[in-house]
Amino acid sequence: MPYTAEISRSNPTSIIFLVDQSTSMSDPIGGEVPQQKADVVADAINRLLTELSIKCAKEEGVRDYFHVAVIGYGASVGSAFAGALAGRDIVPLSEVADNPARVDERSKKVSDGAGGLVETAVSFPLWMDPLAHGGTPMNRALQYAESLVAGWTERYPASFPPIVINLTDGESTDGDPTAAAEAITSHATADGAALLFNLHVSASGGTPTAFPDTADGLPDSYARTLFAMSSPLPSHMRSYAASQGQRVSETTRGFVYNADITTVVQFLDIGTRATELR
Amino acid sequence: MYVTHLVAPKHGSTEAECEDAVTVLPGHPHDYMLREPLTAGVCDGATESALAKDWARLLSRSAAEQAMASPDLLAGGTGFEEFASEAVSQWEPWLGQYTQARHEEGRPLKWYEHTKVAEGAYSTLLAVRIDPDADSHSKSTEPSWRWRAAALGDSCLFHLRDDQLAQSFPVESVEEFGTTPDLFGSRNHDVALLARRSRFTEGRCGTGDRLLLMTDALAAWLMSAQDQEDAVKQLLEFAGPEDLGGFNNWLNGLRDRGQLRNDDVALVRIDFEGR
Repeated sequence: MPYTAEISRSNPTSIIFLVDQSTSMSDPIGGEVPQQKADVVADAINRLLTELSIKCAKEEGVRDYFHVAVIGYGASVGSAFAGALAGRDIVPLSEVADNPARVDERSKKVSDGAGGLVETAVSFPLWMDPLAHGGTPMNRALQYAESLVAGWTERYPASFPPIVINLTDGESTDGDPTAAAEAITSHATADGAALLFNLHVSASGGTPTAFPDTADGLPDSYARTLFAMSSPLPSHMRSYAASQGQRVSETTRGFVYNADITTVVQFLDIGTRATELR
Repeated sequence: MYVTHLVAPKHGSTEAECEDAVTVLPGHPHDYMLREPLTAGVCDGATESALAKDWARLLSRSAAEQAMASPDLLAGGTGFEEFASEAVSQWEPWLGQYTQARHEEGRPLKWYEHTKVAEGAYSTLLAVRIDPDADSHSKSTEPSWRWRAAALGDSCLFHLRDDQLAQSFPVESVEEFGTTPDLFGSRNHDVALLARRSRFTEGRCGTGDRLLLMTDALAAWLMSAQDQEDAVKQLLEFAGPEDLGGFNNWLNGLRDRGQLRNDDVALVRIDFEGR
């Protein structure tokens, strides 16, 4: 059965985020309080890296169950890490956790274990800053991701295959991204083909659509192209999506259109959901 | 009554990283014939939590010690609630000492550890107390023992009679292992809830019977074995601490063949003989 490989330190997997940093990402996103798309996406990635670090944290440090890349594409294509990791592509999670660009302290109410809440200081590490400048060279970004995926599958041929998550407002300015997307998913480990999921943070109209199994009802060609590029969700992610209240079927794809802030966060959570960590 | 236990880390982990913990009291060697009460705590720390192995060790020790001090602890009710309260009350002082020690070693807790530690540590618990039956002392009756067990989560007890499975507790079918087990949280002060989620049972053992206590991966293997008689026979090959190397090799063989989930393993074996 594909997509069931154990994720362990000797058999890790990689998660590659592609983050659209084009000028149009400064447009607002839907939600109760309008925010720039670039801010929402950066916030969601920082939050996810925080959660992954905490999930894999043990007393001897963060375990390298995952190796992570955050690639921005706008005025240029390359690492979107700030601080000590600037310029790096795939970084073991332990290094990610130990090298945020900065750590903000915020207060948060948490359970006191006895039914009450106590206010406690919580760390909010930040690895990337929002950026919105230049075109949308999605093709080049996908090609960059392909080179990372190719290297990974060669290095870890038995591992859970790499997961590429593309967060974009959908309008590639360097041509049809279909072929570059297919090149990514043509790489495979013994556990299955690399996965490519797309999150379309459109602010234009049209019904929000999460994890569809058909392109019917998608409003424009960008959305339909991104849907067609997206991999079907493996079964453990499908079950998790269903438990989060999403309607899913056997052929559900890892694609979201017209996402609001909450959906961005939930999509990343579902798309990076691991099988058991060992 | 003879008792031995074996603990093995998952493949790819070191012994120090093993999050299964066992405490057996009194702490006699495995070839010492016990004629007095015996208690055991078996805990499977949750990999997802930090300091899970430390909590598993503290909880298993606390269960064995308190069950030894209080014969009715594993009957449920307020006795069990008091035990739970006492076990949880030990965590914060332990954590304070640990945090201080890390600070003094020049390795203060990192940002992710602070968050993780605040969530608490989690573990399953299986606790057992065995008492020689008072009314079986005379020579005319077969010796017998009474056992009581409490379980929170999916660490299992098996009662073997004639080396056949006579009873399993608390999991009764292999399908039950797929779900997320109940866990004992190091910061859970709602002891009534812990007691409600725990399951309690008791039984009797006679000469020749055995009790096996084990964490989930090995228990699931035993329950799902096509030839259970052979599975029991294989397991009973390991009878003392000198068998740990062979036990590890045997586990790795099962893992390689995909028959055993790659997880930490803890096993307590209690053999009932004459008195």
